[in-house]
Amino acid sequence: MTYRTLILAAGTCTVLLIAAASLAMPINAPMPDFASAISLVDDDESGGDDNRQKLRHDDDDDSRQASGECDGDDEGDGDDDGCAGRNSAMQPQNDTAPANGLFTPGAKPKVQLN
Amino acid sequence: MKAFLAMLAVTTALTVPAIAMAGEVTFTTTMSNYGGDGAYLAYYVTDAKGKYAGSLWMAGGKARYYEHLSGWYRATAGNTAEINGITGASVGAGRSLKITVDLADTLFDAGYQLHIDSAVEDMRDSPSEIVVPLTTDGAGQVVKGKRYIADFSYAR
Repeated sequence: MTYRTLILAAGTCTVLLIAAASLAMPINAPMPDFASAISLVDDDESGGDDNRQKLRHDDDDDSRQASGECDGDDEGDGDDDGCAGRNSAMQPQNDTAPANGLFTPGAKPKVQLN
Repeated sequence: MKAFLAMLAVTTALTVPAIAMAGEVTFTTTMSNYGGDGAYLAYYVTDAKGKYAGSLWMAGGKARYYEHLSGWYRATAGNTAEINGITGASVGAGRSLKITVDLADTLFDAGYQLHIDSAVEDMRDSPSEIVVPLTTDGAGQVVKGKRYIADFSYAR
């Protein structure tokens, strides 16, 4: 009797967990409204050939970077906005991925640049 | 024996849903020696109808240049909220970028496609330089780029 109860409980648990999991992963969920979205447009940057505009390596907007990444290089030198790549070891990201339905909840991407 | 079966049922009930939900996927992008500065790369996904589904990674931290990633920019209207927490440095010529993310299994074998837009300072933009379907069979297959990307592959 006890074992039957346990098995029944396990089966019920499975069904509930699967249902909860499917609700937690809505692929077609509406886009989230981020009240603290950062304004991006730089009104000073305009005109010129769209295909030939310079990608100047000015001081970066730190709030746009995942934590652990380096700032941009004022010299314009280097090919990766700063010191990323000097350490080729895996750099765990502290920022959580957006809730866009592609990532598992709480996912934290890891990046390695060699 | 009965106790063993009962415990097996309980442990299966607790572990199977977690296995079915998601898995780690690693995207490896190797840049060609294109002779320019660091490339900006936008990784994003479209569904079976070609509609934008979400972004996976943005290599390059300066938002003013995102318009050169024209496929991504057109789909998102340049909304950087799409890449909150998934932005990193641009990638230099000849270098390799490896991104490991925890993705939902439902993205695979369901018609979703991964796009990679690329752009380099003073050089031509390259929207959708890489377009690969997200499938179980596609894992491990190397895809050649058209301009700045030498090759790309993903592994599960």
